[in-house]
Amino acid sequence: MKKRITEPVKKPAVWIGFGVLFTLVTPWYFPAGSWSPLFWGIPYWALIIIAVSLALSLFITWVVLYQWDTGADETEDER
Amino acid sequence: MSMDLAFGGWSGILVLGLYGGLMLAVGLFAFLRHRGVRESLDEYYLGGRGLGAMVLFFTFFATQYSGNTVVGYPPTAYRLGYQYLVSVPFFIMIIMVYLFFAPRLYSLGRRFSLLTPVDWIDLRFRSKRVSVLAAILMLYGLGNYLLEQFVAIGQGVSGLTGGTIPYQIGVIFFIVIMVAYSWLGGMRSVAYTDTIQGLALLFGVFTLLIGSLIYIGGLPSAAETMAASAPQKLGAPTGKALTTWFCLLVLVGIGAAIYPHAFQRIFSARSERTLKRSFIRMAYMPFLTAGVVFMVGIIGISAFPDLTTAQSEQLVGMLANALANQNTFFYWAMVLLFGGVIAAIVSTADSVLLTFSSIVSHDLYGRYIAPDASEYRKILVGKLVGVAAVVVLVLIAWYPPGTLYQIFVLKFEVLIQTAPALILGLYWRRLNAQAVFVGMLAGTVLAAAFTFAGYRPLGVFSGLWGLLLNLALCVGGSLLVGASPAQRERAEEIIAFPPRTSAARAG
Repeated sequence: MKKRITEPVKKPAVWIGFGVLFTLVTPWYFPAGSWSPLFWGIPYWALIIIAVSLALSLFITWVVLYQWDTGADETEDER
Repeated sequence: MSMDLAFGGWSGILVLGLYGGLMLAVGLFAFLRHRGVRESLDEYYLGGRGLGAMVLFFTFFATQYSGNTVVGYPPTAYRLGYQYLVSVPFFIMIIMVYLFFAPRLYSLGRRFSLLTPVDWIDLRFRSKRVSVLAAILMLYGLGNYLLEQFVAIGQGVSGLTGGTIPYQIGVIFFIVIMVAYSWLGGMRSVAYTDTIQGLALLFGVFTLLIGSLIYIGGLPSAAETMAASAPQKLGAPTGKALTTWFCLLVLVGIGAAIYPHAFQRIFSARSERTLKRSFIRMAYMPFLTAGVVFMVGIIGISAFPDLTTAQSEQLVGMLANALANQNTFFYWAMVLLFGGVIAAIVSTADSVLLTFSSIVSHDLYGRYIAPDASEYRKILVGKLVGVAAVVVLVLIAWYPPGTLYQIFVLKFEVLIQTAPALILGLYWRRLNAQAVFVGMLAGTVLAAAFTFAGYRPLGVFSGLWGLLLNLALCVGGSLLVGASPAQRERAEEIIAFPPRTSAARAG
């Protein structure tokens, strides 16, 4: 069976996703120097950054699983 | 600079000795199982292109996270507070950047049997100037990187053995062990030992965090200390701190992904599937390593308030001291932590040294000096030049410059200048070798000049200014004078995706 060949770099969804997450993982959108409220001793904005970082990891997982298949392994098998 | 620990001494020497013996045994094992390793560049430098997902993951992991992550990051978190939380996403950025070039690069690596990053540049541009300049920049960057590891080994050894043995002897001991197992089994030894070293590192940082949480205090008390005395450490970054955050994301993301030793590891994957699985695991490691050591640094704020910059560099040693005094379990856990730190440093150094040697073997000696030499001879030359470089670097390491952080930024600035050639070359047929050469050279000169002058316009790091100029010249030059039709046809043959014909595949 011929598999679909796909590279992340050619997928607009990958660029958009990474663009949005990169923008959100830089903390420019919080009031300067603000830290209250604290949750378990962690400033609210730091928790948001951690959440966005986790979203970035999950997005990477999705990209690797579903947007990356160059067929390199099949070429190997043919040899 | 040494960390005078209350623990260590002979128990430290015992752990280091056992650790050295284990590494040698792994090297011997790799050697005995693959006797032909010294006859083939592929076998020696890429482990026969057969690393499975678990070993590949650990070799990526142990290479990327160095002893510096454990010893150098908590002090930075201590000084900057939550503004250094950036150390978690910047490690994730590295994986993100990989996804923009690794899929095609892996596939090309298989088709054309690529061995080193310079090998790829040579295949793509067929320009001696571009290849040699890239090789020199990489060797320079790798040399600096190796230097940093040697400085760190010295600090780790002197801390762990409490001055029982002079740290110079410790450094030489580990370098001899490292060179011995690398020579025995090449990439396989390095990757197998990376697996052990990676586990040691993970064990170490977790016991440090758990111990600190139990005996020293949690994040709430650290937050109280910061709110009272240094609220800027808690607050969302602004102005210059925000620019630094952004620069670190970009610089570390791109820079660490195209580190020659990281780049080269892509070629040693057994299959695309194993590479993909390793990357997925790597995407979550920043939380378990950078995140953990970040918390350790924050806890340090309440445990040891008001340290000067120089004192704060000793933070991990101070915390380890405090924990080792609690009970026997933590005493040994802290001895193992420092063993793990040294393991992590050695595991980064061995990878760097192997890539350094491979560029000398294959790209300089093998391509330009003696193309007809046997692979055995090429490997031998790479090994010997590698050892000569190590000797020079050790001599420099015994007079360490500044703090670790500054050296860290210095190597990125040079290495990142090879990014346009490495990455743009994968996708853009029009890219012209002349423009690549001029861009790489100008970018390096600008980055070096800004660094040495301490000039940082708009707060943006000098490496990024260099990269911007580099990119502008590369892209501008190629748009003005594109590659010739014949060159474009050649580029098309190489990078067409999916491959155009089976003839091209045989390449």
